[in-house]
Amino acid sequence: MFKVATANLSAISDAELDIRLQALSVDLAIAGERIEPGPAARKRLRQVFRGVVLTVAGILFAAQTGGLTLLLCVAGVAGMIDVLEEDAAAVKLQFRLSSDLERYNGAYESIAIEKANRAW
Amino acid sequence: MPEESGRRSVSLIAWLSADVVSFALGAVVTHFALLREPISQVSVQAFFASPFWSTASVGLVCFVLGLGFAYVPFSWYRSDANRDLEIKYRTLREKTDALRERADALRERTDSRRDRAEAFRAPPSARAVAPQESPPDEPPYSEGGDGPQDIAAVISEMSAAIKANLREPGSKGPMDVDLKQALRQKPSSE
Repeated sequence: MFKVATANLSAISDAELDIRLQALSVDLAIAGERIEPGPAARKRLRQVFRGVVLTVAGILFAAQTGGLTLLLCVAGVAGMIDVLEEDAAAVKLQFRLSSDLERYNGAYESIAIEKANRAW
Repeated sequence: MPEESGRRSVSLIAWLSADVVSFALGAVVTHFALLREPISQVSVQAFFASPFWSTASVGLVCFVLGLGFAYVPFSWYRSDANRDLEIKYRTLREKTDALRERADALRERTDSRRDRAEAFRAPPSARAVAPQESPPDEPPYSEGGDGPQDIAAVISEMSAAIKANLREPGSKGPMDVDLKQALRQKPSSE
């Protein structure tokens, strides 16, 4: 993770500033790759749909099958719990990436200001 | 990820086992302590055919459908948020790359300027070795490197030769004066 001390940027050399800029660029690339792609969200949506269908079918046909189809409900509920768990992890990751983005923005601004102060 | 999936399976099995065990415990307690009659007399078929199950099943189905419908807009919202985040990251990365490229270009320019300054500050022998510093074609009259006084002498000699040439009636015209020869003659005349 990129940790920039914005307070003492003026005290560091040009080479060090360039190294920090390089590190920021690398960190941004890594963090950008960690953003969840669209297909993963669509897959979870499909899983939720499958879970709902299984659960509803299990409940509706329980009377005719003597409760055997309640096993479908178990499978459906387990699938939905899985999806909700993955979803919670995705939301957590999204919040963390959002807060990281603010930090990266601050780091970029401070480096850009320092570069401008050093009269390009 | 496989570890998480394994833990999830174990949790599910533990949950189902706990259900079965609690049901069995309830049956045993009911049979021996309270009802004093076998629990097998409870009919599952009758339970599913009862109006209670009809009402409860409708309620359960509505609940599950509601969960599914509620998930859809949240999923869309999060997809949009992820896309927005991706765009922001890409923009910031492009800005950072542009700043880095500018810094690299500036550093290269500074380095080349410093190299040139160092080469200029180097001793004349070292400068003569450098290919950029040696002039490609030096005119023959400057080979001696005599200085400004000699150039003035050459010019005065040239003008004298031109005047003498003009004064002679049968001589060649002013355009035919061999200036180069006059220039070359100067060092030897000295």
